[in-house]
Amino acid sequence: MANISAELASPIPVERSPTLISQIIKNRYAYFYVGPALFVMALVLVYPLIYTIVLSFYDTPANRPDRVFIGIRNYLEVFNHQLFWLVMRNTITWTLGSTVTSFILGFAAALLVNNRLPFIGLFKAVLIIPYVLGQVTTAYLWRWLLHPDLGFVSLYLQQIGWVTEPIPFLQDSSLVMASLVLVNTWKTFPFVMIMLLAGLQAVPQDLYKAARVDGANSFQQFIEITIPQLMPVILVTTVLTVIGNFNSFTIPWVMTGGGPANQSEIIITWIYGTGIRNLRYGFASAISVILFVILSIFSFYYVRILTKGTDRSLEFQQ
Amino acid sequence: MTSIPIQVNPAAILKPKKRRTLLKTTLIYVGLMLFALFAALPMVWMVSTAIKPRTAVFQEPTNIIPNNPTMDNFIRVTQPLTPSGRYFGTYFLNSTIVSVASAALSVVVAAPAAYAFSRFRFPGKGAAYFAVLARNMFPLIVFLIPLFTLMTSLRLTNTYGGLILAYLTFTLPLSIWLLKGFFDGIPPELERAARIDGCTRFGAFFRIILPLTTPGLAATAIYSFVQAWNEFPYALNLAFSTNMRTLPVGMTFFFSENSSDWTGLMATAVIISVPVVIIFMFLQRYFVSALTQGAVKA
Amino acid sequence: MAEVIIDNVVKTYGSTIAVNHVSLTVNDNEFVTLLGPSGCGKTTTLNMTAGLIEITSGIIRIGGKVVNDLDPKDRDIAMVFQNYALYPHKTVYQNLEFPLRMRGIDKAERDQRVRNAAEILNISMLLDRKPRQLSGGQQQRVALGRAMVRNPAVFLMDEPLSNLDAKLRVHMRSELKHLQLRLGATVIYVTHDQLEAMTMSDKIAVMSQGKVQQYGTPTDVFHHPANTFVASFIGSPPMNLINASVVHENGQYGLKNSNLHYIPQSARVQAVLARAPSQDVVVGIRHTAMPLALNGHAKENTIMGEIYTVEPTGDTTFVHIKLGDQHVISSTPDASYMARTGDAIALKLDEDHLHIFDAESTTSLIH
Repeated sequence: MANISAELASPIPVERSPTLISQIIKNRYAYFYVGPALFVMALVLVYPLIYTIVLSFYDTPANRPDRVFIGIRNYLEVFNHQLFWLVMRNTITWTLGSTVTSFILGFAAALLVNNRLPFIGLFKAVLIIPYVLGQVTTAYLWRWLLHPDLGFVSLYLQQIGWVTEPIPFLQDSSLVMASLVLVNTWKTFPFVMIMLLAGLQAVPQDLYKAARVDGANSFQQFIEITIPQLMPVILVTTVLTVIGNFNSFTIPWVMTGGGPANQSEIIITWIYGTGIRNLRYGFASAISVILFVILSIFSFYYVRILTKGTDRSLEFQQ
Repeated sequence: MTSIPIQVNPAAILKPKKRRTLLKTTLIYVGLMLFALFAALPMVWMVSTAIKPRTAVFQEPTNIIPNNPTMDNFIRVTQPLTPSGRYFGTYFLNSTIVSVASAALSVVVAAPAAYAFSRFRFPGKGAAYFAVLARNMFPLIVFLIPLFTLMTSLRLTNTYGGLILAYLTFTLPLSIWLLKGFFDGIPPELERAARIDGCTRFGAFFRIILPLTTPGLAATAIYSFVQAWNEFPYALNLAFSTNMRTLPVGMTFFFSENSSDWTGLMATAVIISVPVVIIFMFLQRYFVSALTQGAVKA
Repeated sequence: MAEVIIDNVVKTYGSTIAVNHVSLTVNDNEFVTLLGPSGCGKTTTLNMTAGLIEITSGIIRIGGKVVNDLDPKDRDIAMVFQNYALYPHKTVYQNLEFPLRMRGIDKAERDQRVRNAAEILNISMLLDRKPRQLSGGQQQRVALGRAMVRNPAVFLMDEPLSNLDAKLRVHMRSELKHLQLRLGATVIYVTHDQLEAMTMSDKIAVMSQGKVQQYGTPTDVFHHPANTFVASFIGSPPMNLINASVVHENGQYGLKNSNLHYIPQSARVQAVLARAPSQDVVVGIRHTAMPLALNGHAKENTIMGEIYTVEPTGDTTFVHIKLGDQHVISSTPDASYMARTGDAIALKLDEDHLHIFDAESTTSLIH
């Protein structure tokens, strides 16, 4: 407001591009709000991130406190490791398998629950519980259910005569990934159901009325109205599910520890096994950095999808 | 008027449209029953095993309703005087302290930040919010090694403070995101009115917006609580001494020490699950709103 | 109460200009309306007066004091919002009391002022309710009450009636005007509804594209629109605007387009046409000044068009007419008037109420 008189008759003042410092000073109050959160984030996120990247260029012998700079040798070792391609394949099987099955089941469940009928609320509550259960609990519960000799599933299938031998769900290298995907689906499909149900309920009912007037049957309404209207939610849900599965550790770790013979080893359990269990910090950090790169590609889309909503700061500024 | 009795199939009386609705309703319920069976049977089996005598696992392995139900397993795994239950109380207390503190702390720290992200424009906002969202992308495990070194150098391993701080890595970004969604849903006119009525900027936030967001704050706190209650790898590696373990960690130790005690393990599983299931049952609405807000709006 | 002076105020967002050198003086006890379509800068101007939005340049004075750098709470203003902005978690009583509590007024006086305002607004029986239990009209009153209790220097109102249904709006209009007179309040009122502006205001500032197009009394902006924008925004139906060229033949000026050839008879209009800066003009005429020339009337000096539609409204019947490729509205008091689409129709022009605007600058050529 310094130049009031000078500006009186002038045309629109030229937009003086404000310096960053003056912008920061002008909006200093905002930093009181975000300050504590950003401090904690920096301490527990930014520092570890940098530390991991630095560590990935070092050899960190488990028995000595010092560390040796070895350039990209950790990375070379990762790519040439005998387990590398197996781990990649398992990770893809685990992530995509769990996502596809839980999406199909979750979508079907959402469509069923999205009906106004007696006891729907009860069904909905029951279907959500697996999602609330802890991962350690889930892992042990299913280890028990899938136990070859004493487990309910194996014994029950023998009882009704589908199989004659006990089934080694988690001990057989050809069954173990499928079994893990089953468990993860059980735990994840309610999430898909909740999200898609909310999406279904947000579809304006007038669209269905209009489609009915226009002569669309239930199936055509589903294809022409429901799916397109649901698309944004489907996108968000799928991205969240892919990320959640990709990053999940506890269920595979507690159920198999990567075994038998690394047949269920995925990237996350591999990092944990080499880093925490075998104390190869540098090597594990290198895998982590590779993981960062993969996830950064995801995160670009993820953040874009999530920030598409309203930003109230534009109508509430000063 | 004819009085000839006619035999009628009851279904035929219904108009074709009604018949179709009835068929559809039946199919919906059949589908729901199948889903309910899939979702609930494992949990039923968990409870069923937990109330079986230890030997019944071999004698009546597929009985869902045990012949001689018993509470022995619960007593055994929680009783301070038995070898398998002596730390249960400690674990339970640890889990409760850490989860409640993480939930409370993350809401307290996240609320002002989320408000700023919702309402203010300031340099660095985009980058900071990107960091918040991107955090949800990265698995906890990759931060474990540096966090372990950090906590060791700060002498925070095996302390509540250290574990709570570590839990903020995931509860805080999540809380900021959830709360921003709730704040976005409140019309900015309310703060404008409050500021004209005599509030400072912070006063408008504290006196008007925060009270209005109570359900959102509750939903966020619950979500954080459940996440912290169920967390496993950080607890395993940052609070490893026996008297600092949380329930999920305690469960893995219970299993490695008593690997054939399936009834005891399932009893522990039931006890761990009860608090979150009860919380969820009472606050399902908030929980679901926390999960779906933002995603569905956008 | 106090006067408000808005002096050369500008608001830019990056390279967009939201408010472009707006100057207005609102006298003590005056009801001034900022009228314009959405995006014209009226709400931004109001929010700058309230202190909710920072001014890019210019000065705002309230009661003689420069308030540019004052917080909203220190400007001695009250504001009523379109969506009422009642605090949903507080009762009506607590809503009314809030501004007083924030200013540290003691409890007894707060209670007395709240009850007094509730009395005036006839909402005494609603004091214990929550806003969501109230009807739109009741919420509206509470919002007014919350503004009133403080006896502010200025009331700022941002489309306060536009969320009400049509019938209630008419009622609240008169009630609001009555209240303003009773309190002797200075009011700055924002609306896009020209009828609200006409009926309630002492003065109207018609705004478009961030600028004040005309600032005057309702009669003034209605009868002497400064430009085609004001002419087309004020009045319902709006003034008819017809593009034409000024021609000079046989010593007289005439108006001509592909479908029209009209020689004005009045000396006033002839004089105006004589000083038109270019031959392209816009002729403005309200439907009342362009009645149908029905059977029995003289046909000379009329203009011809064809019927588009007929809209009976009970007392007046509006007739939409095509003049070549242009569209005008005429009216007749004959409630039973009927005509078929495509029928030829003659229109008389009341030259005393003819407006001529320059086509390029759109400003009125009548002074």
